[in-house]
Amino acid sequence: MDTVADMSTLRWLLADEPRLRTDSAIALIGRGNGLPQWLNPIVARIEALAELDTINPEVERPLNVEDVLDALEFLDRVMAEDTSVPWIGRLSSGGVELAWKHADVEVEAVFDRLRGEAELIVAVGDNEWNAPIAQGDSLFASIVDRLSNSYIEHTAGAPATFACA
Amino acid sequence: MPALEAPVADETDVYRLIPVASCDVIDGQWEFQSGAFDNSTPLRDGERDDEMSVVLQDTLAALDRLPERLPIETPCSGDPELWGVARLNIGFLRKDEEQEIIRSPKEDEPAHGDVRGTKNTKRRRRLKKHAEWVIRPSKDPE
Repeated sequence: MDTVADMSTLRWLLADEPRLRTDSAIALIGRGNGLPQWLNPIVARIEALAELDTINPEVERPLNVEDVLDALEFLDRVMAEDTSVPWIGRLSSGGVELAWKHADVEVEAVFDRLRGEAELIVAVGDNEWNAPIAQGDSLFASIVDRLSNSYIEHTAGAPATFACA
Repeated sequence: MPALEAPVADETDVYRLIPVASCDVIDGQWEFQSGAFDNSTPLRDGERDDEMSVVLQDTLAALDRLPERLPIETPCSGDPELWGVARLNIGFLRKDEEQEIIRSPKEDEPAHGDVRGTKNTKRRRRLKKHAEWVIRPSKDPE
């Protein structure tokens, strides 16, 4: 079984966390019989974003670990076992952007404490809905099946979009 | 070359340099995401945090330069192959998105400008929908 100790990549993630948030993150990543399938690619992508060489430190902040943890906690709440892994980006504030796109379904979630933004946007075709992240679970649940890898393979014969290298 | 105070015409464009880190790979191609159209977050107090750096089409043309060459010619952090260039129309930015276009030439980029105005999650998303690639990053997306 995977353990936190096996996940060297997570040590960076948790290194500077306040005690309470660290406990919460450990509970998240060490839960049940192992780690959720989506965690490894997510953590690898976050590590890559933390070490980008295209960052201009004069106008871009380091990745904000609080925003990272907010994003992880959101994913822990809404991801089903088969949900495709979102693309992850960083904002100049150090905030985190999650994005899914398949066919006419688009989802964006933003975690940006510096600017006070925490928002979920779901679009299906020309229709668009939004909600604060704290109240966004049911909105995400309304389209989560359409972001599952099995649904995507069934409908398109192609995998979902994955985090880029 | 246009003077610092010269108006910037609605029918012209600005160019935004976009790193691969702000792009997903969809159908084997780099596709920019909403965060590619984000304002700067300066580290020093007193500096503006409502501006997005761009390159102005009219100045670039006056200098007989091509937007396709911006990843090589304009200062960027990291390898030029990690950067692409997207185009946004100035009339759209002004009229639809309430943005102000500022000429802000720099020593190493005389065509530099800023798109000034708030850019929240929804606006960044609209900018993404409006923007078009001039040239995608040359790095292999696979």
